[in-house]
Amino acid sequence: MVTSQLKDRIATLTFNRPEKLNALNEELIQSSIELLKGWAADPDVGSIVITGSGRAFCAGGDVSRMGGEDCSTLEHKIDQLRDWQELSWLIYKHPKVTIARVNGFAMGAGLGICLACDVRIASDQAKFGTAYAKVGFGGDFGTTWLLTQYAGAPKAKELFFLADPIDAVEALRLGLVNKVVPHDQLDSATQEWAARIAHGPLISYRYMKSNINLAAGADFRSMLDREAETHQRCGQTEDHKEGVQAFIQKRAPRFTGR
Amino acid sequence: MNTFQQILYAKDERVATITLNRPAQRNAYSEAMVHEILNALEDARDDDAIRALILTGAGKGFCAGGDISSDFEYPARYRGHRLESMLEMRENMHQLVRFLQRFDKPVIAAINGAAVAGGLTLALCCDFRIAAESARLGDTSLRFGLIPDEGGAYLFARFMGFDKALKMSLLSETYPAREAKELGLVTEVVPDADLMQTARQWADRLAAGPPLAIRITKRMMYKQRTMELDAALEDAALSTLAVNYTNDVKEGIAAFHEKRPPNFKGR
Repeated sequence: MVTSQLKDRIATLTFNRPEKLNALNEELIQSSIELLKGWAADPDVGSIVITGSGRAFCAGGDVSRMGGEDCSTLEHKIDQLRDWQELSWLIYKHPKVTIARVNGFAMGAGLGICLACDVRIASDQAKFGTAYAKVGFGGDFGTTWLLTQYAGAPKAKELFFLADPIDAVEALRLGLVNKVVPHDQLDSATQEWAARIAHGPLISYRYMKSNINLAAGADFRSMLDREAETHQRCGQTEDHKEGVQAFIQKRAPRFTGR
Repeated sequence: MNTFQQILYAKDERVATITLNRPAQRNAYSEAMVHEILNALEDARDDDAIRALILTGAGKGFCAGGDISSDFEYPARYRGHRLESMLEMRENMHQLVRFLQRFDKPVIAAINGAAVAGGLTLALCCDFRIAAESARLGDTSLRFGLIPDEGGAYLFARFMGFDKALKMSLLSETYPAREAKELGLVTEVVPDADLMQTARQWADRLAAGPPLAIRITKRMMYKQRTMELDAALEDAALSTLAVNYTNDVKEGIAAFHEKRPPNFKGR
């Protein structure tokens, strides 16, 4: 259901159910969560790329399995969705930088997973959509919060109510992706960002990321105080000393993540 | 289910019991113990027959907090990377704290002995705390130069009031069960010999209630603590959709008219 690779400090998680456009199921989600948890505690992982095999990044829930009779209770369904949505939370809160390599369709829950990543590099063939209104669902995997944060409430409502897919250029215009590249350059563009981050000052990244996440729900004064703590904490790292030395000596820094 | 090494997990009719089982360490939690508790909680959550849960400790203590006896500072696998070792707690004890805060079936802590530092936090993550009168509760983190980092800094003040929590943590105080009850840390104090029986009576009463309505009421009360009134009312309206049309409501009304105890099924 997923494949993983760790090469030159870049960990890659690939949703691998191409015949179902990488639609989510229990095994795909739990394997992804296990891998991501392992990478959180692995000093050899510097950055994380999340992507899909085939034509889709992730098409969301498995519609072919919806609508049938099932004996599961409402409580079980809620508990299961809470468990599954941990994937979005884990990506969003992950101590390493997460990069979505959006190779194709990112729909519904797949859009949520895509938006939970820190940055998104999209192929010019990528398509984004909420899709929930088409099947009478309500929105999951963080799409509600993330779309409202990134695109603003009016646009989020349009994307939810009308559920028209948008292309990569429109997604870039709305601020949903960081960069759009021709499909055949998706690998090199992703690799370039992932490698730079993987060899960067990881402790700084960790605090930058959590600070920006916190800023979504905090006031200016609290964030100033938070910066005072985290900025000075970063100042105690070996990477900070190395960065300063490299600057003085006019050479490239060699960061170790400590 | 027989794979637990550091806890005991038992299910008896509608009540599940998790017993922390490292008595020689006063049930200080290890990484492995936290994983086992999480696995047991997941089983209790997913088993429709289970309607209430008791958390207690084997031997003299309830839980002494994090185990600081072995491989404490930076576990070897992190090879000196502080970034990763900082996360270990988040991935373990913090995960347990979050799981309990979002666990919808009622949980009773049967506090058989010392519940200190992270052990007190664990008890505060349960819905009710029944303490044996010889038990002591408090925060001893600073005695070791450590801090209440499992969520205690957040929870203590919410249960005791701010100045009392500050005093407990900064002076590393522990209190006998009766004083702890006055301070708001304990729901009820009972003679030592009655502890498990009382906890079971509470659990049985909770288990006899309407499971879906109990679950949703608990969830509403926890999540509405951080909501404005308007959002809370909207949440309540949504929750009625899941509850008001169940057979349990018909059964509750019928039992009332027929002057008999209701037999709730959670459907």
